Amino acid sequence: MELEILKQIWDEADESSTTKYDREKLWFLASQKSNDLINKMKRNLFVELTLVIISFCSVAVYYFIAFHGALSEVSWVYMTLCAFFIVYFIVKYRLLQKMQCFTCQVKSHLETQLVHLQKLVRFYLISGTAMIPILLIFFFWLLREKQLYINMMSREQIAYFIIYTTVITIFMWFINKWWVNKLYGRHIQRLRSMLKEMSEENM
Amino acid sequence: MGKDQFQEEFLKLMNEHAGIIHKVCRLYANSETDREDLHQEILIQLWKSFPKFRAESKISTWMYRISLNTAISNLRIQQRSPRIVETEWVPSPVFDPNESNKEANLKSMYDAISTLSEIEKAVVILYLEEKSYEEMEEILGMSQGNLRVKMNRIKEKLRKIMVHSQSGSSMK
Repeated sequence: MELEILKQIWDEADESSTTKYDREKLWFLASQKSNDLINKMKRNLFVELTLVIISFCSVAVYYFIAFHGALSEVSWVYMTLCAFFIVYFIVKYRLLQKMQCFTCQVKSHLETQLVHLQKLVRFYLISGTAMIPILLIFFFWLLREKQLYINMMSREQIAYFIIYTTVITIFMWFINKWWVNKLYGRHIQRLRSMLKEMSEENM
Repeated sequence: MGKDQFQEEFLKLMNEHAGIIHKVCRLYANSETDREDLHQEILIQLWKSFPKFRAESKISTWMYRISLNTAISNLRIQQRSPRIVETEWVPSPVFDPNESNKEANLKSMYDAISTLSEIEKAVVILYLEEKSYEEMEEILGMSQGNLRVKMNRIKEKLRKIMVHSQSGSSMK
């Protein structure tokens, strides 16, 4: 009985919400930039990519020219890192692209968002952590190769290096995990609980 | 189809079904600013998706999918608006079927619905629009069995709120 009242009010609301769009207003609204979270992330991604390319290439050029090219390996590392970041941004962009399916059923849209967001978090975590030991190993090798600080490598030095690298990598893993959780944790949790709610059968 | 004709077609459809967007905005955003933001976001998504609309499904089904997907996934808007979770904390809506004050009744109805979760709001909006369970399934992707169970729970929740509000108002 009470719900009949709601329906009645709802129908009246329908009558009161028949404001028509005029042509100008509609085009003005529809042609604006989307403020959707994922679209914002996409736009930020392009800004990040531009900054990375500019800064990494500048450093690479500097090391090609400075010290009469003696440290050109550093330039190559920065170029490689830049290439890695470009791949990283492409993968991230594609994942963000796949997250949007507004014409899909609500449940499948949420599922798609959850699956791709989890992939994105995993990718961020693995690539962000893996970069640390790779860079440390490279610079260790470079210093040894150029005989800048390390002439001889005793077993003790190698052991120290391995321990240091392991500790830093583990530390970075936790830092990255905390960071992605801060960025996306709540959203993932929210998506999971909505999907759980949509999947409950006769409970 | 030329660009002008295409735009004309979109304008016509939006005007025919403007109520869908208004109602979704009213249910999912609390303040006037949030409603305007959500309204604009829905229109952007509708316009972006319009070229792919093939009329395989009803226009209202297509519009509901886009509007609800936008509203539910629009975190920014929802984060800005504090959501009331506990029914007990909500100011009791006062319904008066005989009352001629449409706006007050409407506000009371939205207050009652605002106590529901995002998914429950989606179910209730389709129920109030008298969509069949089949159509609801097509829009939401939930099984019909689950929809029926959920709808019974929602009815119960709303009934409690309304009974509570009526007993509250009769004591005044």
